[in-house]
Amino acid sequence: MKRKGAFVRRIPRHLRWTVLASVLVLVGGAACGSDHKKNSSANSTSTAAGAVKDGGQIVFGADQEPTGFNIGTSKDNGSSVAVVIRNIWPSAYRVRPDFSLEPYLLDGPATVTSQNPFTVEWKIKQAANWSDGTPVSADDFEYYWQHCNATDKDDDCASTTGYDQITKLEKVDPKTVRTVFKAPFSDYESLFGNLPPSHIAKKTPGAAGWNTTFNDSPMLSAGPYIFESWQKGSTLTIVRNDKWWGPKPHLDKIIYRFLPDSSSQPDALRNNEVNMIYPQPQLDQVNVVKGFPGVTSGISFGPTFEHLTFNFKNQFLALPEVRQAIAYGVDRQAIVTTLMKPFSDKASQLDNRVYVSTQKGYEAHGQDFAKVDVGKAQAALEKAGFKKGGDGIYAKGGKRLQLRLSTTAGNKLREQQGVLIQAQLKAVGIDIRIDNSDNKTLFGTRFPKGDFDIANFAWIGTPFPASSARQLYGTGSASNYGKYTNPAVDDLMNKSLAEVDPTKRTALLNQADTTMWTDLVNLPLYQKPTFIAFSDKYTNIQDNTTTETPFWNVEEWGLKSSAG
Amino acid sequence: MGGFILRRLAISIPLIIVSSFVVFLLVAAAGDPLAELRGNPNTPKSTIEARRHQLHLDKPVLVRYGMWAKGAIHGDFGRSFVTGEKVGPKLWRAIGVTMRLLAGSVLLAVLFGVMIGVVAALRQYSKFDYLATLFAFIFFSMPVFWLAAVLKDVGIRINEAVGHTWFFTVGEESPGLAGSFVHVWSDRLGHLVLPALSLILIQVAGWSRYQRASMLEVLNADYVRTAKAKGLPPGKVIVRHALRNALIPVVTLVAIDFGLLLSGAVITETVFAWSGMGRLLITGLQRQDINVVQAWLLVSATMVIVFNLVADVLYGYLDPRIRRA
Repeated sequence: MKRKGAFVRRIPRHLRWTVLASVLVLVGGAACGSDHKKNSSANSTSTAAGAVKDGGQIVFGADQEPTGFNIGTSKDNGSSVAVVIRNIWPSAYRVRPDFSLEPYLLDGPATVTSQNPFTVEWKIKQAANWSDGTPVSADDFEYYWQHCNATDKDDDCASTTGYDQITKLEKVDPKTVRTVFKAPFSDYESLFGNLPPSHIAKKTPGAAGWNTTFNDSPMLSAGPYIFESWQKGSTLTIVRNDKWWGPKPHLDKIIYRFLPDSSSQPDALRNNEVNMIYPQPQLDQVNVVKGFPGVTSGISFGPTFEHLTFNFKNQFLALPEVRQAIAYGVDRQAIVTTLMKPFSDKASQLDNRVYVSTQKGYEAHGQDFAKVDVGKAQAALEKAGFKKGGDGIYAKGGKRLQLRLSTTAGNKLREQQGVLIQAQLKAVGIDIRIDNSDNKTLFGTRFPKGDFDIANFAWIGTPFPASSARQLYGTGSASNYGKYTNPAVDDLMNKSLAEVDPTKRTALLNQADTTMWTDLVNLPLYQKPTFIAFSDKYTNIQDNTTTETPFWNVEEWGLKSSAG
Repeated sequence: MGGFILRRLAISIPLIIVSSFVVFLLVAAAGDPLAELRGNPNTPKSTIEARRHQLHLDKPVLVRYGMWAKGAIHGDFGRSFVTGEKVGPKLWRAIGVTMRLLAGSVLLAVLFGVMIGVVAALRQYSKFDYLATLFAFIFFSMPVFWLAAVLKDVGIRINEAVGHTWFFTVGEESPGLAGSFVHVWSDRLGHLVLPALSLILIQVAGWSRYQRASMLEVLNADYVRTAKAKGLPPGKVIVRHALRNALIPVVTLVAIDFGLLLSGAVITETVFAWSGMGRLLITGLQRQDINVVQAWLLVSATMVIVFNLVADVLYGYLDPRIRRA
């Protein structure tokens, strides 16, 4: 039997201190890395509306610093700007978390006054003024249109969609605008978001006024908050705009603290250095934050969806049976279970390419391909004349069924996805070769030139699916990388763009999606998650996965009455 | 000495030119600043073309490098591709932040590194020596990101235990910091402690080992034995005869390391969200902001060259034989 302490005594005297210190350090290190206490907070993305007290501030840990403030320019068209400017510059409409729209700057919904020519009238709230007292007016609408109607190549406009359809913009009176379109444009509610103060921008004439006036400051506000300061590299502060036309915001101040390394955000939240974070979700971080006491956190599934796009110019993929074989052979459920379920049990496969599942109008049309079915996949290939070779891979006319799968190199999730798909389709008898490239090569060269067979990337769903669908799947559209064409689908999408009745429009788009499931223009996989976490001291915070960001109802945010 | 400094500076100019050219090529080839725009189906082609033209991305890389170099010679580092902001002010801001982090940290690290090294050498194979050795090996081999994470966790646990935020884990100061002198500086100190500690612990680990080795070598040298034999007081022998000579390699090392650290304690700044030189480089690379990366490179290369020169000059000062040579 070994005697207690024998090991210690065997250590030379001059080394005992060293060993003891090593043990202490290791024990200390282990203690530092031990699990946090479990919190009692609910894992939800919103807090129940409770008693709110006025005053106080919230510090938001922002992933990135704004690039400027005119979100209408391509330079500033990013989420880092959106989280700030949507609180300052007014939009005609506001998008709610369920993708529904409500008039915001407008005094009631914009009205279609004529179908031919398609004419829409917009009435601006009488009380809406800029913080310098100048009314928000038809001039602001006109200025936006002038710089986004694609008539001046020097204008840096992020999206000309819709504005380029307006042939005439009439200022009926200072608070009423009438827009006349070339052709019916049912997504007119997507227009005139985050209007800059035109009377300030016009001080610099031409495109330069639009492009550069708001590089360092949004200057004025007609929203619930007004810009106060920007300490570059560190923080940006907005304070309550007492001249806002809406209900008085509860919080005095919102501070954006720039923490580009997302791994520093959870610690900052736990240490009360920031009160709210909205990072790109990473599984380990999500699990860590869930354990923080006094923090509410939650996963939502946003409008960004992963999919496989097929190149119709490929000799194999041009055959509907091959596309069907892939759709039957790819185990979408397994991909969701492996990659998305760890985030949330609510993750599910996406069965519509026009609407995402969190959106009103969503109908699941991909049920035929809901479960993997190798038998059906092989039957489809055999129907098209393919024969299985000795290596287990199908071939036709002496050519093996080999296809390239291309996605963004370095994106771990997609690389993992590619490996899963490769294995799944091998079981069917389709040889998938991974052929990834960097972002620049994929979107700059390969996709536009059609240099791919199957492409895996993401599109972003919008509350305005009619114009988006035409852009992604319409014949000849630059974003239709697979060169898919179906006149019946084009017709349905054009009709939906002309249809102002939302119910009929949704029906038309769902009809188009059903046809596209038959054609298999692409194979939707799943929606990507978003992650929000905030201190329990605050109430009325609710995630909004659209471009409105969680700040969509910022005026309602506040400290709970019970908060110290 | 003047001629020596001038010669060294003359050699460094082609070095800076070559390195700036290589980095320009690498960053230009690394990615597309307009990738995000291209991936967005709503962005009109004309807008992407206009941005390409505006950022000179439609010109050959060599022409773009020439344009950048011409501006840089005149002190104009151009504008950020991402924000349109002038790069110069961004750069000076970042240098200021990094200096704030480094000044105290390096001073303390030198102080402790030398002290620990000297005592460990004087009491070779004592408990202190073993502890110092253990400390040095642990922190020398510890990745800085891990040390930073542990320090953050310890800091937060202390905050939670005392119910007050003594240690901060992100940034240089609290947002909107104002108030009395004491309040402002105690807040800044609270922000400095953890990142500074992560730098200090690792630097002390390395420098104390150098100091110990150097001191041991000197203590066994003939001239130290002679000094002892002459009956000089032990303190005088150690400080004047041994330490002065033993400092030579360490001072050189510290000067070179300081030049490198000025380029940005990249990981420390990133983990603790300090907007210094390290973070400037990382965000510049992530956003393919070539002008920012180039300006960073120019300053960093200059720093390294200057501090190498400082090391040489200090070497000469501490060792008269070098001056004569």
